[in-house]
Amino acid sequence: MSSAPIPTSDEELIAAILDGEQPLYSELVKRYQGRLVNYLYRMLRNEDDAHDLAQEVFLKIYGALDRFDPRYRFSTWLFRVAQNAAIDKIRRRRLKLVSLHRPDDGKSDGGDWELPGKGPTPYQDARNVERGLAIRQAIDELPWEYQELISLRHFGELSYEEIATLKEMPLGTVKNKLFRGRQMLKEKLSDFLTD
Amino acid sequence: MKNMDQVLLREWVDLDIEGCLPTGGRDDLQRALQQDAELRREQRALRHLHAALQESKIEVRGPFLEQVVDNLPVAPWEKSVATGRQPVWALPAAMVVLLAATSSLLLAGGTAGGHLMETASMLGDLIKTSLLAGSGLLFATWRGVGFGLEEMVAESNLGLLALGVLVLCLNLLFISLLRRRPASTTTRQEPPTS
Repeated sequence: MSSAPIPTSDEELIAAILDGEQPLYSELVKRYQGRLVNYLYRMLRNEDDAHDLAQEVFLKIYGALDRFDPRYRFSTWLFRVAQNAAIDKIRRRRLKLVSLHRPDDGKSDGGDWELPGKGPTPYQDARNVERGLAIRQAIDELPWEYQELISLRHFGELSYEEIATLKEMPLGTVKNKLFRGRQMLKEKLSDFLTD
Repeated sequence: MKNMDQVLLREWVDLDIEGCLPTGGRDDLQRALQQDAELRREQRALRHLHAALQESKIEVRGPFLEQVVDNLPVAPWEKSVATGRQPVWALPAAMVVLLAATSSLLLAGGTAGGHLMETASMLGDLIKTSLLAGSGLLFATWRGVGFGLEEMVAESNLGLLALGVLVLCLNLLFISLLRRRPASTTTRQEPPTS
């Protein structure tokens, strides 16, 4: 690897990787790993699954890097791939749960796999655990579209413009829906949002 | 009207915390915040919400990056990168250099012998002969193909039928190649998403 400075923009970085500087891909992973893992954790509600799927997404992206079009932002491509992968995973998980645990009644409302996972808690103390669970539950109770937008904004840390591109929504709609989503969260979490 | 203003101000509070409120709006918001205790409560609650969302994030596990890097596959594009390192202009450039070297050698020889014009004329003749030979060969090839086809068609109806089938197949192949091309263009514009 050359000792040339690491390109600042994602697009330049990808161009350098495609030009033969493959080790620079780790820099791209470093830039997005936290955001992607957190976004997938919000979608899948399980830390192990979030890490595994994030790894899969990064590997998939690497394989298709030459198909990246610099006219688009890398972040929107990455999160679109991640979103599709997460939806596939949720679907597969549902099928698995249905086939293994609910073969008989046929009356279920499909709700129990939406409950938070039982993986290790990410929170340091009891208060944070309680608040963390409350946040998770409050987000889970939002309509799906709001959940997605809140996850993309607060866990994927995408800008409003990036979300608008990714979701193919007008920018004003994204702003409005995020405002309403946060208002709903605020109402649900009013007990925890105090000094 | 007052309700509308309240909704708008709450949106501004939200946008301000997100860092998306224009400077002009921020001044108006500050004035409104000074006068409105309810709005200040709204601002505090939203700040707490942002902080709570931030705190609920998880840490990426230590070996994550190493695991990704260790498991990177050999991507199909890496092969083209390896071959692509030879610049695409290498062959034409080499030919130009070779041509220039040959010409200069010839010209140098011609100058030394005082036959510069003769050498240039010889080079011109050489090029002319090459062009003639090339075009003659092309013409002969097409003539040959023409004669072959003519014979095939004249011999029997079966030959004519075979030729028809061949032409049809070639057309179908051509159409299928044309239809495949726009699909790959789309993939290029919008990278794969799953």
